[in-house]
Amino acid sequence: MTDPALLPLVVAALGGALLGAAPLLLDRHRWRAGRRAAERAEEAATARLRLLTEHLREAVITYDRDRRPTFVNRAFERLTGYGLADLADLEFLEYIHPDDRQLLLAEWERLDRGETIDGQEYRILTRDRAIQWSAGSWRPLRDAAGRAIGYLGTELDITERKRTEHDLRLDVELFQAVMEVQQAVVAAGLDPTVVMRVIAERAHALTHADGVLIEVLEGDELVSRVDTGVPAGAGPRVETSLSGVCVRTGEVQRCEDTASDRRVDPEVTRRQGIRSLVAVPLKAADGRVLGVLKVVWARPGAFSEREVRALRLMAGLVGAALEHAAFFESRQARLEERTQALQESEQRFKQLVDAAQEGIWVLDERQVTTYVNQRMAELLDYPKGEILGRPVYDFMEQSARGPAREALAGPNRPAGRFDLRFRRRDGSELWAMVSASPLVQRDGARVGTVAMVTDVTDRRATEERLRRTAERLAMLHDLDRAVLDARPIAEIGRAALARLGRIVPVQRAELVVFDTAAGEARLLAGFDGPRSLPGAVIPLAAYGSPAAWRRGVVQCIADLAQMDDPPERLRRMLDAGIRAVLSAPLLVEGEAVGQLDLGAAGPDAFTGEHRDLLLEVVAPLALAVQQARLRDELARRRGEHERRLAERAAAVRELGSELDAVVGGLAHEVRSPIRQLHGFASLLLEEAGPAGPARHAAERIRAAADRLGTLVDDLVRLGRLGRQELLREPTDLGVLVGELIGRIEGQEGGRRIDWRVDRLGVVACDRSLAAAALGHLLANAAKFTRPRAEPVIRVERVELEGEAGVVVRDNGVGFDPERADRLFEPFARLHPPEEFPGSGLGLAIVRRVAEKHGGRAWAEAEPDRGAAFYLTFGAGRGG
Amino acid sequence: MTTPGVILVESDPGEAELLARALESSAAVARDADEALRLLDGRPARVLLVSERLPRVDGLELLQRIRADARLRHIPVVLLSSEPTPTLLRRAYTLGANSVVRKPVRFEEVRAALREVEAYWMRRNETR
Repeated sequence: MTDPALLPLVVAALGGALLGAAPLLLDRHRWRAGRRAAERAEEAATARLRLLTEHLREAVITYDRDRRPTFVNRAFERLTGYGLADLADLEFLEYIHPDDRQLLLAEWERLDRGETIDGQEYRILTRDRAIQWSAGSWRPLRDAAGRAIGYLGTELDITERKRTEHDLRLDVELFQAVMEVQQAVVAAGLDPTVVMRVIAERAHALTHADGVLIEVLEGDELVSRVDTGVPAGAGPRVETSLSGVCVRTGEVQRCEDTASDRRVDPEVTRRQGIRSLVAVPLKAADGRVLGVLKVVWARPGAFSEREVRALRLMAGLVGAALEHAAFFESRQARLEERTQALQESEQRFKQLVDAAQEGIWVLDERQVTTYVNQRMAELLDYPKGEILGRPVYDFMEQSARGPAREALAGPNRPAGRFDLRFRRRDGSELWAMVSASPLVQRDGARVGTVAMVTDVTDRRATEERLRRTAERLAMLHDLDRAVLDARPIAEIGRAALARLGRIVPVQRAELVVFDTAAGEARLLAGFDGPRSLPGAVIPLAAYGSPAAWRRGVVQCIADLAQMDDPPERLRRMLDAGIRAVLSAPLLVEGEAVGQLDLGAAGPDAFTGEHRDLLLEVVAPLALAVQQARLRDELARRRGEHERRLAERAAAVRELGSELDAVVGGLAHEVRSPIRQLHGFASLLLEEAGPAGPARHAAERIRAAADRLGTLVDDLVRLGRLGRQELLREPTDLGVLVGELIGRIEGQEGGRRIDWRVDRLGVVACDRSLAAAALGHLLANAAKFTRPRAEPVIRVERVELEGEAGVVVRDNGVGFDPERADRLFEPFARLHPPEEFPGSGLGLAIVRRVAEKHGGRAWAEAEPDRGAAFYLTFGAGRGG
Repeated sequence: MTTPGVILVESDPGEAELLARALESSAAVARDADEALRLLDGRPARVLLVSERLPRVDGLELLQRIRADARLRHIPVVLLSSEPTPTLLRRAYTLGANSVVRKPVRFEEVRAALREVEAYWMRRNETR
């Protein structure tokens, strides 16, 4: 009783939503019969899929088993710039960056094993050839029967996060480089050549330069002291005009492109292969210019403000080292004044570190402060004198002291880096990256620690922001995923509230859905502190007017206690100790289907960021509510459909048994009187004389009974056909047609017919039904060629669209082709019965036999030119 | 004691007369199953031609009774049917029918069929 055309509807109903609808899209080719119904169902499924995925932030794409794209949502088009039609011209997954695509494809077989690929990060190459980062998740798609029919991918845009991570990494690299350099300056015995070498190499790596030079002013001349990777062909004097400007002005000189900068000689720089450069002055503590740190690149515009900032920091250190070196040399000259010189050196050293951009903190073996530089004092906002002589731990919260002890007083080991939290004088936090090195005497005993301290409060804030963003993205991702998975709305709501509670300072949360018909709001999920709220039904009036919901705005009440005459639900909130409220309606196509209320214990608890977040959360929740309603509607329709189907089946069964009774009556009760009519008329004829009216009458009765007999035979056959089981077996049509022709020639009383029978071969069909149908076709051909002097009947094999069958062609009287279709209706006569007698049911039987096999029967003809009748037996299995 | 011959069991008088006249030998006609059993009680029969459709006790049930009776079960029974469906054939042979023959509509065919049956069971077939 199952109509294949109904199956897609049932599949759609069961699948409920996306995962039901998407396979349906891919499944359409399977339904050859009832194609229109399948197309309607497919349109409905596409529309639903589109609606559901329209508001998703995540891009959604599906491929079928042959890796052809079958669906993308709007977010996908926004992310990649490709629509479904564009993707058809691309290779499978070609929108993904070629390098990453290989990595993803290497994982692909996991999908074919039924596993999923979750959150794989890769680059997307958009239609405009821009790079976007995505966290992609892939899973196999299955139809209702569990067969794999394709793949479903979701792309979460994480470009913003990647960019922040990249910036952060650069910042950290920069800090690390400067720290290393500073440590080299502090610890390396202040040999200026070593310092310059270290700085040049670090600057080279940090700025991805093609060359770095440090030139020192000796008298009036700039002498190159250190260089790294200076372009081949450039002598020791690499582009000198900008260095000159730099020395004269004491300012940083930037050249974005040597080809268009009038300050440089284009001929020289072209020969030296330099397109952009930065020259930074090296200065002493009193501002005198000592030399130039110069960085060159082979491409134009190769540096940004970040590189310049790093170079300034390094130049400061080189300047200090050079200044110290001058003293170092004079010390060599005055060995006899060694002690004093050492003291002076120390003094100079202190000046040097005081000029440094980073905090320097020297501790004795008990971590008591013996020295801090100016910068360190500024960082902590204490006068230097208040820091000296106090343990470093005095400037930290209790909780930060453990990690600090570990960092500063640990065993003698090479410098390590730690993030430590200090407390400023005003009580605020100072996050700092601390790099600690032990101070060791000649005999190896540890006498203290030197710590380099860099303010990373900004970096920590960025990290904190990043963490919150990640948490928010993860929550929205989970929400979208839950909606995609068609999870129950209450479950989605509870999960969303739990996550929301971790990001927003919420004391009480209530998620309700509206039932406007019943005038009620149902509480789906909610909590008050650690306690979850039980389900409840609230009068809709507690939520104010429908007009207010439709405005779709977030309502932010800074303090409930200040509110005049609050609506009932807000009064209840106030009673529960809530002061600030943030509310947003769940909107679907401009209609409010529910509301989410967040309450905090303190007034003014909610910020603009919370409000944005709430808006982001209610969108997928609204989708989920709508999806649940859609599912209920589908289930209701399916129930109705099944009930109607059952009623129809019962009616058909009843009709069937009535038909059986009628056919049985025809076969037995009607045949008996006909047999007697024919029999007694025959006996009368045997006894009647050779001619006369009595004999004529008897002949008339006999002829009528004969016709009645044929009619009943055909009616019985037609009546039984519908209920009869089809027994398909390999049948030699050649043999069958031969037998039938023999029988027809007997009935035609020796009339000469030119039978031309092709090789018909073996066909899988029901032998008795095929015999009935072919018998009618051959008998018809014989009948309608009776007026012809030279009747020719051809029987040929046909193969049409994979179906085997037979065509019977005659050169008989033919028929009007415009009425070809009516031929197969019961009792549809195109010729007078007295000329061409028959039951009028023959072709109806032929058509039923064809349909029973899943084949077709049709006719082609022209009046007086003959006719051709086709009969095919469907695409039978076997034979 | 008469010669054992054909007993025809057929309830419709017109049909019975027609079938009897189609036979070469003269047949004893029974109108229903009871009459057939009464007839068999008195005289031997070479073959019983039984119409499928009989009032009260139908042809198959009569066949069953004959096969259940030790004195009668050896008598050949030929079932006559206007529409020998696969179901009828299966049940008839399961119950021990010797033959099932279609009752055609056209008289020449009726006569040809019955005479063939008659010739076989009255002359060709060997009995005690």
